[in-house]
Amino acid sequence: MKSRALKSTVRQLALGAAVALIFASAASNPLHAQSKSSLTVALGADLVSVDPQKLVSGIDHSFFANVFESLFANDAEGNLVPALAVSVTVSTDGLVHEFMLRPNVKWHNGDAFTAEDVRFTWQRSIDPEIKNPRASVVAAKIRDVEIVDPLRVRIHLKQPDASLHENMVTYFYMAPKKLIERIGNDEYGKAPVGTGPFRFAERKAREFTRLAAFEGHWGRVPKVSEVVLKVVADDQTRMAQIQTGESDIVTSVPLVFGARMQGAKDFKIVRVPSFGNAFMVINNRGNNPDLKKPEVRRAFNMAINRETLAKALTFGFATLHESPCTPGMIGCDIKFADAYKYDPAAARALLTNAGFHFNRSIKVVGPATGRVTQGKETVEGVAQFLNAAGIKTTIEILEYGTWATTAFAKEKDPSIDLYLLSAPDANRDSGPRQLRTLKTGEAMSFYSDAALDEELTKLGTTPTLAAYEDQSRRVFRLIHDQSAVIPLWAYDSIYAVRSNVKYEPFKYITWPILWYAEKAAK
Amino acid sequence: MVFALARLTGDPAPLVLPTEATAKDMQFFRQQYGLDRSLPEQYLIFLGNVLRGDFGVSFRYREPAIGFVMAGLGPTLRLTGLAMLLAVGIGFGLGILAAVARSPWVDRAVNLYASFGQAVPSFWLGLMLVILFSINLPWLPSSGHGTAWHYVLPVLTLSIFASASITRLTRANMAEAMQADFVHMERVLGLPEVRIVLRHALRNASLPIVTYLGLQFGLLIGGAIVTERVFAWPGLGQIIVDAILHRDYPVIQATVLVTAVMFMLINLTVDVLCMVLDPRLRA
Repeated sequence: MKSRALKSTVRQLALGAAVALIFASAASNPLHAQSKSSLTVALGADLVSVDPQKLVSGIDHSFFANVFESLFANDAEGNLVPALAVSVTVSTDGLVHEFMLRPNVKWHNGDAFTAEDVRFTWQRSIDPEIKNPRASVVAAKIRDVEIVDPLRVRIHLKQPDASLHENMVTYFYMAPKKLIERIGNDEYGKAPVGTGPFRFAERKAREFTRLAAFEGHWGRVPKVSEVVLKVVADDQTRMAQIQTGESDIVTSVPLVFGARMQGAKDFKIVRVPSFGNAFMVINNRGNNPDLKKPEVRRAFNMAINRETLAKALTFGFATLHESPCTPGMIGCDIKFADAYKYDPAAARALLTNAGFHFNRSIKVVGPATGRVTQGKETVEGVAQFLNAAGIKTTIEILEYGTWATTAFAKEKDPSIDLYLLSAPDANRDSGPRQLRTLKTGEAMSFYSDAALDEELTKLGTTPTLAAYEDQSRRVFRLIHDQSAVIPLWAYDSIYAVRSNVKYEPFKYITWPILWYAEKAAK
Repeated sequence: MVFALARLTGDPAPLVLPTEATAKDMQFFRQQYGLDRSLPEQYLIFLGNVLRGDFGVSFRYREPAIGFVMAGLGPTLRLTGLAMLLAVGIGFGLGILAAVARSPWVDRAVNLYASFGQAVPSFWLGLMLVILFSINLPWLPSSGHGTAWHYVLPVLTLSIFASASITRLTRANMAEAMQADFVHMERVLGLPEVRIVLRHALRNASLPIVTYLGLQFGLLIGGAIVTERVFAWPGLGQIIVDAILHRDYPVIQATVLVTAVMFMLINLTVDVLCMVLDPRLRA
């Protein structure tokens, strides 16, 4: 009886193995299986959300920027251009923004896009049920959205916000009123509908999201019929995807691969500047009184050879920061006559004159390399240069979670002197970052200065873009004069693109915008 | 314990919310998920919810944690199940061969394989297989999930590690069984050698091996974390790594629970198998 049971089990196992083998041989080899009109893009992480009002992670933009639209968009150079709005007028007090909406825009389900949708998007963005994690960036600043006629809306702000239009590009993706009211939020979250050049087709969590070209788009009809956003978290495996041709475009190419694979035959490495910055904040509220002195902070800036450090750590895939902002940002056209020049001897003299305590060690803290590019190496490099100028240092490398928690802690650790931050700017407006990292008591700020606080506060209430640019310059000037931070660089966005694919990524945008990508037969 | 350990890692708000989040946003997040309450209070609420089958909602994905975890269970079980089958095939085959061949060369070769399998880290082996079979010899997909071809490299990577220890154990137990009196008696009676080895000696030797297979299956599920990442496999491994990186407590708790239940089921299966193999255990 037992023997029979055993035999039966063995037989079943053998049968199972045989079926698996037959299945294996019958299945088509998926290598190089993509058709000419299907574009596969390998991403470093899965999308967290496909609901535009639940945008959590930066990676989600890879989906939203292709499927959804806002009133404004960015062009290839990173400039603001009209999208679902064709024009805007702003009241003199900066509190009322009147938008003329683009006519004949259709949602992917065929409904017409109207002013009702703009009002609904705002209401949905601040609905506590939706738990929108980015509500504070745009929606919470709006007092009301008034519908003037089907193609005209007036947005009334609680206070002037000159960077509203910039932030709308990524934090005010439109949602369809009629559809969501009919099917509900849960169903909409499973099959979202937008107005973008691609429509949602299929999603398998942790595997891929498939988008199909939307032929009814008002002006940006894609050149490929579908896009597959494929999740490949491991860096080496993601690079294998481009080498084997399984993916046509690979995003988030690690620096070392970018440098090593520049001469590859079947694909090219493409780089564009981004706002993914790295900088050291200085704790002038901590235990070390030396750091309250601007001369000491300036000397630290002069002791670091950014160029050499950037060359060694970023393999040249970075834009060097001479000031607290990345060139290309609002107000970042400012030139400093007294720019920090690498001069360790002068730095040492400055420190001596300022009465710096050379016997006291400076604690330099930063994240482990991984989720923050070259975190550990940057901390070590900065410490090395400080050492060369006679400044003693102690290094502490934190696991990413601990690093983030320490950065966001309400009471900052007073023993920390320098803290490596990487707080990417979402768009050309660096105001929110300067505010978060430098204003007294703000979420990531280790710094405190009344004059800078005042200028940063003004930045948040400037009514017009021109005034905002001027105010941004004043803020940058003050940050520079006070040497409030040690600016380092902004990492480039690096892509690998197969030779048969025509694709130049947009400047300053760290996610792929794909409606203009073309793919030729191999 | 998992509940307490997860919370020891720190506040999830800075990891779940975007960097643009203000201090007010963070406070709102903590209130929404009850993280502003005391730990004992949070624990009591958690226990009450678990008793009703509610494991909470993922902080990051805003979906019920248990459903999210169960979606990853299938791919992980398919991967580890196939890897286990292959490992048992290789381990039993090589172990028996080394025990019965009575050749020092065969024995050394089998030992070499076993040492290699146990010594090589699975992430390195996985990447080497990708370089060899996907890049240099473009035969197999480098990663992903969906067709039978996608199983080949991750299953091979996982099974080589598992098969190494099964080979060693099978070899040792079979060598001992082959020296037993009943084997000599069967040879004297003229039974075919294949029958003696596969029917009688293997059955006697298999009890400790089957017990070990249970443990090994559990280890495979743990080892799959690395393999799943290398091969972009959408299983439990990816889910738990992602949850730990983002301090997604509900998902961590649900994953540990599901894994613990799986371990219990595996142990139960092993106990039943042992009883099938050895009638004395049924008494």
